[in-house]
Amino acid sequence: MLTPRDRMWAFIRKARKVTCQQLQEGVGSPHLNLETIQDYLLVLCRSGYLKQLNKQGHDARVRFDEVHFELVKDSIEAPRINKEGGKVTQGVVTLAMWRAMKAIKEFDYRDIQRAASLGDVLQVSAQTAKSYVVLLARAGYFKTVRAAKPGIPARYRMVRDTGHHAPAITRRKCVFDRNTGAFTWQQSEQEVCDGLQ
Amino acid sequence: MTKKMATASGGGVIAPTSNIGLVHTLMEQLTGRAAGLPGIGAFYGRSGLGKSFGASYASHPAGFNGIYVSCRSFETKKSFAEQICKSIGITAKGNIPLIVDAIVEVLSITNRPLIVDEVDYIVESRTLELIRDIHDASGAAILLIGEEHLPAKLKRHERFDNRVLTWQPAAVCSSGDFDLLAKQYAGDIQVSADLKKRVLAETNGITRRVVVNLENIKRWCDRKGVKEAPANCDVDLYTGRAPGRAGL
Repeated sequence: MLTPRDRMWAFIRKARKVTCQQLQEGVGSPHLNLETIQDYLLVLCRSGYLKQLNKQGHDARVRFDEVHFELVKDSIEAPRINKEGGKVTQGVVTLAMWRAMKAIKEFDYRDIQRAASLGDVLQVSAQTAKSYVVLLARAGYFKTVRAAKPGIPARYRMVRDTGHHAPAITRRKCVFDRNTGAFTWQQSEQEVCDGLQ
Repeated sequence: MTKKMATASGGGVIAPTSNIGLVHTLMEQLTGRAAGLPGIGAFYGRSGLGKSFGASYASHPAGFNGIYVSCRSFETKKSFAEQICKSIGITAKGNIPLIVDAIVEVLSITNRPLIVDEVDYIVESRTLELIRDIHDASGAAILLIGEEHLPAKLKRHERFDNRVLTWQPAAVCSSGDFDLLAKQYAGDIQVSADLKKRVLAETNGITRRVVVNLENIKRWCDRKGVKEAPANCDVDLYTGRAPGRAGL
C-alpha cells in the first residue's frame, strides 16, 4: 500500500514535469489537499530533487499558479524529507528491527535489540524491542521455538516475511502490514475493555 | 532513502563486537573502492560465529542500508531475482532479463549494497552467475556471506574469483566480545575471569554457544540467589559436542 508521499512521488517520476494542480489530479483518490502537495514539492525543490521552472510570487502561493516543477534527481523511493529539509526518522527503528529479524532468522528480543542498535547513532531500548517482537508474534509472523521461562525470554523463528516494509504498530494498538495492506493483529473488545479504568 | 546516512561512512560508530567491526571495515572498503576495482566481498566462517548479525548490520537502514537476501537450497535464477525485488519493494514482472534490468536500475540509482546470505546454497549452481551479472551491470557493492569453505568453492569459478576484492574470515568470540555479550544477556550477573576463560575454551569461541552458556549461568545464579558466578560453579556448560559413551 502506498502512503500519500509515495503516490505523489510515483506521479512525479512518471510525469517528469508537474504543477501542483496536475499532481493533485494525478494522484487521484483518496484526495490530497493542495497545501500538502505544495509543501512536498517545495521541500523536494529545496533538497535538489526538483527544479522550479518559472518562479513567480511567494512560495506559499505556488499552489494557485501555473508553476512547473521538473524532476532533476531521481530516486526509487519517495524521499522522506520533512518541512525543515531534514530526513524523516520516524519508522527507522521499526525497519531496523524488521530487517534484523529477517537476517538473524531465529532470535529473542534481546538479539533484536542488539542487532537494531547502532552504537551512539541509534539506541533501541529493551522495551521497544520486546513490545515489537511480542506483538508481531501475536500477529503470526513467527513460530515459537522456545516458550518464555522466568528470566529467559521466548525465542522465535521468522516464518512470514511479507516484504520490505516493516509491519507497523499503530496508535490503536494493532499490527498493520503495508506489504499486504491488511491488519494482521487487533486487540479484542475484551482486551480494550480491560485497559479502561 | 537514496543516500547512505552519515553514520555509515562518517565513522564514530562504536563496533559492538569484533565481527561487526570486521563487517564495517569490509563494507567501507567495498562502497568506497576506487573506480575500476571489483566490488564483491566475502565474509565467511563456521556456523554460530555471528555472521548473520554482520548481515543485519550491513542492511541496517540507518547504516549501510544494504538489500538483504538469503539463499535457499532450491534457489533458481528467477526465484533469486524475485527475492531481491521483494527485499527492495518492487514487483517482479516479466522474464529474468526484465527483472534483472529493474534490479540493476534500482542498484545504480540508489547505490545500495546487496547482501547475500547463505551463499553456500547457490555456489554450485548457475544462479551464482546472476550475482556476477548484477555486479558488472550496476557496479553495486555486493557482500557474500557463507560457511568456512566458501572461498574454496568460489575459487572454482574463475570469472567470479577475480571479482572478489576482499576475503574476510569471521572472528571467534574474544574476551572483549564476551563482556559485551554478558552485559546484554546477563546484565546483572558478575562472571568471574576464570569462568569466562572456561566458557571461551569449551565453546571454541562460537558466539552462539557463548550466549547459551551465559543464559545457563544466569539461570544458575537466579536459582542460587547470587549475583556472582564463581569459577567453580557447577553449571553444565554447553559445548555443542555430541555425547560420547558416557559411563560405560
